Amino acid sequence: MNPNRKGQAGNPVSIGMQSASVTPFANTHFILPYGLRLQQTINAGTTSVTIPAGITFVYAIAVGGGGSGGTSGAFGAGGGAGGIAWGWTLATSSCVVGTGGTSGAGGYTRYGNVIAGGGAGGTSLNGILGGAGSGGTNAAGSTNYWGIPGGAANIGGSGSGAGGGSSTSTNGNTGTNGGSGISGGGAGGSSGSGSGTNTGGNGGNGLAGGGGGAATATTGTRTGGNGGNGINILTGAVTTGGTGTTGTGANGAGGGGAGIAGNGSSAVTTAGGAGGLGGGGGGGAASTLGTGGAGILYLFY
Amino acid sequence: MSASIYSNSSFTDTPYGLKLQQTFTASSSSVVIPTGINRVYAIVIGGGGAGSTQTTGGGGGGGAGGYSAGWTYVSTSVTVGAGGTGTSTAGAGANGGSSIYGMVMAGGGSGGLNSTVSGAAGGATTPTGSTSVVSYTGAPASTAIGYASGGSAGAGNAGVSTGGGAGSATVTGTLTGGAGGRGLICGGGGAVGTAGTGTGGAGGTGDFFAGGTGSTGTGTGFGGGGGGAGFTSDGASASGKNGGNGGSGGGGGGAASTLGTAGSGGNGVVFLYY
Repeated sequence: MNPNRKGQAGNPVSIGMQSASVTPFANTHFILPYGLRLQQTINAGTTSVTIPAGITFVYAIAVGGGGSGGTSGAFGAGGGAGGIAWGWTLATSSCVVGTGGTSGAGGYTRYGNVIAGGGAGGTSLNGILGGAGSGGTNAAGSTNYWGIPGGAANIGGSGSGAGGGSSTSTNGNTGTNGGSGISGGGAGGSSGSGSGTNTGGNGGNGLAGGGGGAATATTGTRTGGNGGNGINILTGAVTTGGTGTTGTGANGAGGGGAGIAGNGSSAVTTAGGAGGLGGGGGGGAASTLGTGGAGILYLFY
Repeated sequence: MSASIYSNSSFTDTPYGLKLQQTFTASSSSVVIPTGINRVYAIVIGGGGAGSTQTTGGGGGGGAGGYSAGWTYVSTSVTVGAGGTGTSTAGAGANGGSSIYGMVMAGGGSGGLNSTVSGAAGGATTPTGSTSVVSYTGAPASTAIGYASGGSAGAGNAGVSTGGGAGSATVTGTLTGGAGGRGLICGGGGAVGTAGTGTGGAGGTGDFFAGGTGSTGTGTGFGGGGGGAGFTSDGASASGKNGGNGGSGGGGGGAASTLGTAGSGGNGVVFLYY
């Protein structure tokens, strides 16, 4: 029997050492997961990883890129947050970390056998592999790495990848909020012509938040929805979604959803806010959509 | 009132600190686990699917074998799935076999279907066709990117275990087959069979090993697809109109051009850690 195997899950690393050649940690700050320490944070664009000799298994938390917001052609819907997956994997020397969507879905993130999909872009699309659905029409969230179901479309259903909220083309109406869950859904926009007040829905909350929906078209007041909030999983602190803009005859863009590692950006006049680092969904807009937040990869050992 | 916490190392759920103790590349009914070891952590990989070959044009690449990992009770037997065998008979390629140790199981990859549809990767069980199945963790079946990704009508989809690349039914002009998907274990490349210049798709590139290259040349004697990277070896390159074999550890077989011999999938493998 391997003597290093002793101990309950989460025991201090000094008990779980894999090699006599590795120096035990002087302290065992338990962050995530219990008993291990965050050793590497990897951003989008990085494709190689160096794991110290003697480390066979690594605990990975993978976050896909957030989807972009939509423009008026997609009723100004918010983008869905990127999927989130976690678990043990064999150590490898390569990785894929998804970028945030610039005009559609975010990219997937994978390390070893831990994989998370990107959030859907704001064009009425379903999420993939834990990614949340965009706002719009019939955009559902998706089941994630662990089989946790996705949320229903249109109503902003809760789920691992939450469902998107429906957009409305009736003047004076409000887009449906995105669903909440692990990854928040994108909100629906409001794009009816007339003089009434159009209001975009708010992005769904989660570990990463969905983007807010836009308010467009009306000559009356346009109020963009706020991005959904997230949670910094390293500290437990709330990351905040950006706010939408309000005005008459203009403005009305949606705020970006928060990522797990950064706040979402607020909208600026008619430009949607960008999603926060770590999978936040982008805010919707009439023409200048908010981009999705980049994915991120945490490695613990 | 105080509670007594039952402490038993057999119930830890982290594999951290474990060492690779046994590797199986063939089925056995005489697995020996040392006395006192009640649970082991198993990594189980199914066999890769074979590529397809067609009467005219090129076939689709085979999907990679499934990848499953987790704790299981000990068992004296292990099943290791064989890769699907590639043939020169027109039609879909053979599926890979499932691998099982205790309660950890992984399916084989689907064989390539036809010219325009490649095989999906294996999940917890074995798919047939371009739609994958649910994986051991519960990750969903997919026709695109996934834990077990789906087959495609072009380049293979990315994932942990990936689908093959598609071929082409077109028989004239300059053509290139779809590459297998990028992943941990990869699908085979698609083939083309054309009177012009044909280049078979490369096998998918893995984290540990490379996929084989497709063959290039003028006429239907070329255009075979490369084998996908397995978990334990490279995929083989295509030769003429024949597809390359998938790498050992579940690589998908490359497709063949115009009644060439399609590549076989790589055999599965089982690793035991304790």
